[in-house]
Amino acid sequence: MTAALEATGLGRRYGKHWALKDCTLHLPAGRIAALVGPNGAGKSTLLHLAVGLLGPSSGTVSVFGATPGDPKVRGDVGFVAQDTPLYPDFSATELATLGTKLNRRFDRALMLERLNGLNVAVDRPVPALSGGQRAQVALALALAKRPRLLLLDEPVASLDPLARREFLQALMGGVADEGTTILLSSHLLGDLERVCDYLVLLQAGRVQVLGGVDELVAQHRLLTGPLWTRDAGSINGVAAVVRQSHTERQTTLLVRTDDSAPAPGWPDPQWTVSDVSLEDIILAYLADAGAGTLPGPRNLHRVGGSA
Amino acid sequence: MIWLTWRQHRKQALFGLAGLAVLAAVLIPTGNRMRDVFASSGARGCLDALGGAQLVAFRAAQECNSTVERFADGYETWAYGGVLLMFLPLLAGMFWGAPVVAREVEQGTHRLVWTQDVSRTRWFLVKVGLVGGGVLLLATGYALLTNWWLWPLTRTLVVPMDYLIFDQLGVVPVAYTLFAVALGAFAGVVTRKVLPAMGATFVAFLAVRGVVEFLVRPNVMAPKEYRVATTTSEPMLPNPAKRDWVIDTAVHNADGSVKEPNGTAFCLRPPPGADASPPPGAAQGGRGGGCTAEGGYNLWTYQPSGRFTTFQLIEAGIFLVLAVALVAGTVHLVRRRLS
Repeated sequence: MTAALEATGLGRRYGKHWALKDCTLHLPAGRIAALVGPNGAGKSTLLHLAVGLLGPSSGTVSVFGATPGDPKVRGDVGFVAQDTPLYPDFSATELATLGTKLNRRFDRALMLERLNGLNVAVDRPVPALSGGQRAQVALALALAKRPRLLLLDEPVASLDPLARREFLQALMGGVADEGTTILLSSHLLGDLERVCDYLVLLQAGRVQVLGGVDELVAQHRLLTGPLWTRDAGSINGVAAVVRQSHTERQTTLLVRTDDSAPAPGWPDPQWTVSDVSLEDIILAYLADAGAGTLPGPRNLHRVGGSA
Repeated sequence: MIWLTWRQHRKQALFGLAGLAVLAAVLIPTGNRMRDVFASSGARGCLDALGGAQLVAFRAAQECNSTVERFADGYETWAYGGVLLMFLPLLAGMFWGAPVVAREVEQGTHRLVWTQDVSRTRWFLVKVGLVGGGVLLLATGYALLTNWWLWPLTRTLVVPMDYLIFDQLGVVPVAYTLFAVALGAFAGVVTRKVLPAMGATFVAFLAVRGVVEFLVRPNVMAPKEYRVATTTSEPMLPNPAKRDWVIDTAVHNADGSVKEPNGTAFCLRPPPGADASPPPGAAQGGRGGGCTAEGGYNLWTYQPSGRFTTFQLIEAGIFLVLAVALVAGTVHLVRRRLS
């Protein structure tokens, strides 16, 4: 499968501080990927490296096989930066002119039609628009390049729930027929769960979890049973315990299984097995920086259970 | 890119044009009036009559000087007010140069514009090229105006090569302005914020100008000297029409030691039929009379006015080279440092 975005040992240092370190990931084309992690985990740094705003301090990054910023792929990558910066005192129409003048391929009509469809006043200066409308303008500007890879850095962070929903609808609608690969960073796990089919979880500058959402959800289970004081990793079929909690009589384990389709009755009758949501999985991994799951043989870290 | 640059900077361009228009509205009528008075007061005529000799007779020089003073008395404040025009290049650097990159970074729009197809090197070069070109046109207009306006004053009240006057004449104002804009752009990339960039531009511009003005310029070429014996029947003064830049004037003894710094003195050997007393003002600073022992002399150290163009080209060259270096440095930082 072609990689829309591929990083190997990618790192970026600011002075002595590594904002991103030893990041290896492979984002297959056509995926809609969530980029998740606590503040300072390196999400913006990774996106800036992928779009060519930053150069790597170590390792390599490529989009569609070329270095980001290379004229060959510049037009293939769209970017919506954090806080959706736009020139104040420009109207959406003028921003469309900007897009036309600065890009080889730019669908001006598409941008303006899209905004008209959303009832955004395209002739008013951008600051006169609501936050949600400004974000829509920034998105429409990025989509009008008809990018093959679209990177968005917390585009909905400052929006109210309705504007957030409209933004994500516009995003999904905008790429539905194009097969555009998306990497979208956000803290809003519920939103991500609704639209994303791939997860990149960064923690402290490293990739902690990487994989398709369906696979991840299928691999993880919540086990509830009587108080379990032995090593939870010894339970049959459990590859790793991501999170465990105990009360006086009960133990709850969020585990990664060896087999994504365990047989009914697994692991044994004393455990009640339930499915977990993507949000549960993300929260469990965020709570424990030591746990990790990466696909592919070269990156398979077999990290044991948690403390 | 050209469209974008115009769209972003059109207000500044109109503001600059309006400023130039205001300047012209003030300078053209007052300049015309000054030229009329310069001719009608007789100052122009007597200066023309002095010709191009290095030294002229004391009496002729003094007579012309008093005519010139009558003209100049009315314009002294103008000449010093004109010094304010020297700050226009600095304003260009602060208000046009500093925001070129800093405003984009401050607003985050560099992340918008640098992720379009156009490369950021091209983006910066077109932007700084067009802003620089606009500034070049405005600065040229401003330099033509001030050169024209100052002309009667540089023939009378001030000397073209003197400190602060030289800076408003010839081509150096244009070079200063281009330098200021390049400096502003560079400061903007370093500070990434408009206000600190403006402050840094202000400080660095004055520092560089001061160093060149007071440390470099006087050493470009060694000054020349006039010597005129103090004891004479025919006292001579440097020709006021020549507009040499007299750096130092002193009365020396025959052995070369200084008798009177900052002065001119003559000890008249009464020639037959001549006025025995020195004309008024002849012994400025020469307290105790000009009568040194035989062989004493007045020494004028000066930069000949003929060097004006050479000095102008050297100084303009210095600032243009600095401007090009700053643009190159800015390109480097824009490519490597910012994200």
